[in-house]
Amino acid sequence: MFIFYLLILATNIAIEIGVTALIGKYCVCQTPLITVVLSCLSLNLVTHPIASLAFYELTLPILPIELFIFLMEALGYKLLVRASWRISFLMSGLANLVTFAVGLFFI
Amino acid sequence: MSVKGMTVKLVSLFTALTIICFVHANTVTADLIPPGYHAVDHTIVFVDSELLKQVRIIAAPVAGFGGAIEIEAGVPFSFSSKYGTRIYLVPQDAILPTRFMKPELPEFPSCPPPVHEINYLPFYNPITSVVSTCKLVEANENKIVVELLGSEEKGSLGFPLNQRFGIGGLVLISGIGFLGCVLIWRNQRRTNVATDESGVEE
Repeated sequence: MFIFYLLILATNIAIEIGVTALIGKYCVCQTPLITVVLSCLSLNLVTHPIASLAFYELTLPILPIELFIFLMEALGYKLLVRASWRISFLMSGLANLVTFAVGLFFI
Repeated sequence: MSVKGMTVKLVSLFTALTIICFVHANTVTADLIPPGYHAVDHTIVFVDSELLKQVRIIAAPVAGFGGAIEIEAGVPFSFSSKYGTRIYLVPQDAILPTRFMKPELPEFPSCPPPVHEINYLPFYNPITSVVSTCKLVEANENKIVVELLGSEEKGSLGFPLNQRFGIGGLVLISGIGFLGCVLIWRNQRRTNVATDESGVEE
């Protein structure tokens, strides 16, 4: 079962890195792209297990979990990428929206 | 491209994507699936047993147009709580009724499946199929008893979903991520300090 989880985590991270790298490339000029990518990777390694525990183990509804993750990741991008609040919320929001939408497609 | 322009385009794109997902969620099914829900394929499978080899059991709904299904060990079959599928013990030489021509079935001993059908779930629920495993416990001319051994829920990729991930592994991954965040934050802070100092020197 854990290998399935790692596969889901890897897919999630790959998609989020794609979205944040795109935004980072065009909107966060002062921060190197590698920092944006590593920040996205690290933040997702923190938030995805928390979200999975909350959803699958505690069986909490998905929307409050997604909102919490969105806020946490926005704060993370603000601190790690040193982007503006607006860009941080854009990165977090779009990345999570895309992965949520991709998840819906697989359902 | 400006940030505002890019945001508007991307939000529009993913709003459209989300709408498509909602439409996609309501796939064609015999029963009504309310908006915001998706269909779930729930089947029952019987484990092999000596008793099951000795008798002949079928599954048939009490209403609707569905016919009878011969139950075999290890072969999953669909059932319907809405149309009242029951499990019947029938004689070996009985001719199975087809579609709604099944007036003789109530004469045979029967029981409902020991599990309620899951027909649909909210769109955000990852479960797309459920397989309930049952065992034939007792079957004689008076009654038939079927026991539920467990249910396995799977997602669209075929992953079992109701098994625990292992909290230890998740905490470890989270810890690695947190360490990564701290290292990036420290590195960024050092870079900023160095930039500020070089700025002061100039």
